[in-house]
Amino acid sequence: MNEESVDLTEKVSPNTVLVLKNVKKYFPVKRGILDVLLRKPVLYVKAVDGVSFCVETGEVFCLVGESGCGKTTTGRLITRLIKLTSGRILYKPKEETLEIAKAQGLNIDDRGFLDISFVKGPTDKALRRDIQMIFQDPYGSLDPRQTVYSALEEPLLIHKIGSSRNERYELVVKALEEVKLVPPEEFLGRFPHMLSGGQRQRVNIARALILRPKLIVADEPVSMLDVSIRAEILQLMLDLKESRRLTYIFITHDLAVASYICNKIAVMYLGKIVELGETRKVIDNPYHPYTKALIAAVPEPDPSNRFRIREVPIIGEVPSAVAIPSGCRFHTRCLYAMDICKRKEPPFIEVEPDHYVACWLHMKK
Amino acid sequence: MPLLEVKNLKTYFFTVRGIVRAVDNVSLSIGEGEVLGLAGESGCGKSTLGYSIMRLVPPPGRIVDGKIIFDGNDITRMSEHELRSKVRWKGISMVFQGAMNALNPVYTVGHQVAEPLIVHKGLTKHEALEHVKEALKMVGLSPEIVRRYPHELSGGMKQRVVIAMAIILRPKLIIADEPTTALDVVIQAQIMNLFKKLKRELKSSMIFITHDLSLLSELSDKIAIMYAGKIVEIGPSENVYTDPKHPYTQGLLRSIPRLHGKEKITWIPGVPPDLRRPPPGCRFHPRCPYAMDICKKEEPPFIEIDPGRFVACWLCVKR
Amino acid sequence: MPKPLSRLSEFLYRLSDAWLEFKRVKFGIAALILLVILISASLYVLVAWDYPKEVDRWLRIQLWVENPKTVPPCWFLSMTGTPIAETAAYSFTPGRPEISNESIEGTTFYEASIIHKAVVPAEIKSPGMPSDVRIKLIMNTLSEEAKKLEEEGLIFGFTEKYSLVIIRPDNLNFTLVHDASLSTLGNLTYPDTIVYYERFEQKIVKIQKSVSLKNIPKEHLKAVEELAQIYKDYNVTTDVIASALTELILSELTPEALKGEYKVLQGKYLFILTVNRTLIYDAANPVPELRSFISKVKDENPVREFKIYLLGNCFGFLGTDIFGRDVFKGVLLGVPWALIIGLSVAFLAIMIGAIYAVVAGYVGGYVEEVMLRVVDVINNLPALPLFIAIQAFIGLNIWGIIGLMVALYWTGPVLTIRAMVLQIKESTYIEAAKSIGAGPLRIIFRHILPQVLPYAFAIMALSVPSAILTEAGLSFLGLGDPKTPTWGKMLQETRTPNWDAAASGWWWWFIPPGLAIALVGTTFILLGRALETIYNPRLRKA
Repeated sequence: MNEESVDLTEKVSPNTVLVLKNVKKYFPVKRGILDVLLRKPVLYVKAVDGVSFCVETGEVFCLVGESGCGKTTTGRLITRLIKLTSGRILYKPKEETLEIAKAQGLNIDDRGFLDISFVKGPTDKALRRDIQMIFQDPYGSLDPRQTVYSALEEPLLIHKIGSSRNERYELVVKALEEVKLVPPEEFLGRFPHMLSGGQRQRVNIARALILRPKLIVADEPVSMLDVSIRAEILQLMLDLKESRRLTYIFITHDLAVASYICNKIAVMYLGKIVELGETRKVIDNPYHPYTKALIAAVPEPDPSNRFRIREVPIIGEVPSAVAIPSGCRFHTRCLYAMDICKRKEPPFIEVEPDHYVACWLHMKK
Repeated sequence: MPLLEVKNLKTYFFTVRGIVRAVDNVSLSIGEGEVLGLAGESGCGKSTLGYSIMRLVPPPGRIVDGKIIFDGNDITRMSEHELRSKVRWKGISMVFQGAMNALNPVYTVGHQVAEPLIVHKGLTKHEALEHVKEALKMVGLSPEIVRRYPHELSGGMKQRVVIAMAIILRPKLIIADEPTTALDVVIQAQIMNLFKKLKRELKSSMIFITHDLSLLSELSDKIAIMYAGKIVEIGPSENVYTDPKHPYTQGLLRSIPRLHGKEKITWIPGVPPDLRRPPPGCRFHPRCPYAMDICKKEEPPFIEIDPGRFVACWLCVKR
Repeated sequence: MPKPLSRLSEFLYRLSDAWLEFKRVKFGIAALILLVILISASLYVLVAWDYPKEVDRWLRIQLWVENPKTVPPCWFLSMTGTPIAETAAYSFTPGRPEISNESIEGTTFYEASIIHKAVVPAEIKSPGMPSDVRIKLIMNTLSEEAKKLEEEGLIFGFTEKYSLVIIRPDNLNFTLVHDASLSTLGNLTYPDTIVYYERFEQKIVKIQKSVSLKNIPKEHLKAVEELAQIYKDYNVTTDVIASALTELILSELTPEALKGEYKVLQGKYLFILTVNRTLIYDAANPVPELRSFISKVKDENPVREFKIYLLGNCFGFLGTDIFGRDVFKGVLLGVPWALIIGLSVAFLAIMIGAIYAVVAGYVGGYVEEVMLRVVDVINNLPALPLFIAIQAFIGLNIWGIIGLMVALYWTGPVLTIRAMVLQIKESTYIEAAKSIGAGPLRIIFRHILPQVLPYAFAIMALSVPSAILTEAGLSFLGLGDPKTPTWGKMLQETRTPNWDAAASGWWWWFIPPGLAIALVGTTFILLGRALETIYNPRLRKA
């Protein structure tokens, strides 16, 4: 990173709940035995290649980008389903998790943040009650052999919440009511294949919320749902955010959905954030050529579209994450690529209040 | 005379747990060079309709009633042999959902694109090669990839190969079933541009099946909205998008999030019906904000409210 | 608590779902019917019979002596039109003794002659030729006592002579034994002691075996000469007559009979056993021992048991084997074992294999590699030679054999199930389970294993025939457990250096056990295939 870059992680406020500092995740490419013998160098898929940002409590923070940009991997890093290669993830946990962390002897910094990158033991389990995930595939995220009740009871059993069956039953019923699956009794005994897509996703949301987390990572939660119910689920998520004081990290490739629900957008390309800022600012006034291309590519329901070619200011296809282009990684597809773009990585600068871009075109400031 | 006329088509699936009425009395027509956008949500029967037109409905489903008249011939009555030699791929070709993953990994691109030519026109591999290269160029690919294998290509490139295969015999009608669903938005825009170009150059008709109404506006001259196995509204794009008559169409359009729009988006409450036991009367009535008494009892007729504009809704029936 | 929440109802729902699918597979129903028949047969055999006692009786071939040997089933004879001879046993009625008491001239000595008789009225009611005639004699002899008295000088001569005569319905007499001494007659009767199990209690019982007419030494069979006399005009040797003695005695004495075309003489046959005792004593010295001895000689009928067995030429459902055992019973005895062996090996082996595969697939990394190598090694062991070697050196009993089979077969499903696990592992719901904090044990046993079990059950069903066949093969080679009446063992008994059922054409003996094995195998193959079409991931329509 360039020393002229803005270090977003400096912008931590008392309201900040999550900080990612230069997080990287490299996946080694499997080598055959011949490669090992010939001493070929190990190749890495650089899925996430230095991502930094802060998330405020109550915010809906969007990670937007096409497939392969690293947004899903970032989400999984935050929920600790995979371990990061380098960098740090700092999180401000709930009171009870804080206690457990302290009891385990873990270091809490003076602002109340815990480094959750490599946590083990009781804190690891406690963090499951703090950060939860909603997955993309409503059907695939439910065990087809479990009833709704069983699926919702499972987190309670794992974390020993609720001392009797009756208590757990009550908690499950309440969870279903919260996601508006009413009457709850009608859904308790159903298997996933007896539910519609929207209903399944509600169950997933209920399951994520039943442990009362503070932070939810939602990975394309409405992409596999019918258009007519997406808004319903999105509204539900917003309502729950208010009632439960949640913070969302919302991952999506659909810019239109992002513009509807998110407060802040981070546009990712090949493992890095290329533009970040308040949603309206980024959508209405994009700076980065990639963002501009993405916005140009999104169709609107306008019947006159068919009479004109949709101009998308971008060249070619996404390069492989194993062989990331030098300098600005977008330069191979950028219409405005300059010499410097091929040589040096652009720094991350503030072009407007609360609007950041990593692009040589805007360095004049 | 329209190129394709579907009259009262019924395709049912006879499953262990009941009869699924996937396509239930559907009628539509497409003219030459016209693109029909077939929209609807999951389970509405649009894919089944596409397969029915190709007469490729997998068991336990089959066409139980109705007629499909393509280029003057009733293809519902044709034998398999006739279909294969005269209609399939030559007259009507298809771009399947997820087709790019269905490319055969052990054959080169050139081989696979050439196959329809070899099978239907009897050309040798050598003769076919020229046509193949031309088709590849038409879909925006370098002709050199004839030697490549599918796994060496990106998703967008594979989809272009599939489209090349679909147009190689210059069919009059192309059915595309969710051809861009698995693609990123930039590639999707490029593929849609490709379709626009092909529409202009080949003048073939198309049925474009997708749930994405925004996407359909990129290509369709006519829009048909399907719900629970039936077409609820069909008409020229301009009319349907700007003045939707059916409450379902209205609900769909209102639920699309816009990049630059400021209105709050709404949704349609409830769930689509079980096609084994659809509700009586109008199938949409449980979710319709304007449902009347008659909607619960009788199915609304499919009436032409304007030339070329059909709606199945009691609200549009005067009297 | 509302009902649909219990695990049981979850399970029942899935079961009903599976049943709907299963019904559609055509041969699944057939397999199920066969399975029900097999299980009912086993239960019947185990519960309604005193199974250990029946097995014990089966193994004690001495108990089957009075059954016809290697005879086909009766329905077969009816089908082929051969007349049936039934098996029957006839007991004796004591006759009145003939006593004469004569004094010896010029002395006080008397010579008493006492003739005791025992008569067995046997009857041949059908035109079928019996396969054998057996005689059972249990006698009270006084020669020991007499010897003692002789030594004491109380009596002066005592003889016991035995004769056995047959009177045919056509009133011809044939002498089987004439004036034989006890030692000679001793060949006809010999005691035996066996241990019996009855409802888990041991009983020790003495039985006397019967002797076949064919086994009476030729020297004593005057009947041979008598027959030779009848056939004197036909120039036939006594050897020929002796070899067909039983048949000739029981048939009309036509010239055709000499050639082997017998026409059975139906009617009543009287078997008369005569015990001729003579005693010389001194009347002048009527000592009490003498007097009691004399009254014994006079009054006690020395014949304690005298039975004639006419053994039929057919028996039961499936005939008999070389020992006279009812083959049908033998087959039934084997049903529970077939099921026990098959099911326990299949269940244990596949269950172990499934859990092993799930753990290996889930854990991954080096541990998985090592686990798979272990599987490779065991998979490549030659099973049958190993079985043979182990059985030859350490004769394991049936449970040992079962254990050995489990130890060699558990690796079968591992690779397929591991492949399934690798795919399931990537499912989103497994990720979701991890994200709510589930540990590996919970994920393995609550989420992965239940997905894999239905396929495992299909494989279990398909493994049952292998297990049964392996055990049958081992038993056939003589390496099984000799105490368990399995079908393999039955097949083994059909072939020895002394006899070969196949060569002798005793099809009712060697076909049923083989057929039974095939039937059980077929049942489980059909069942397994039906289950597989539903649960094999590759065949699934998703």
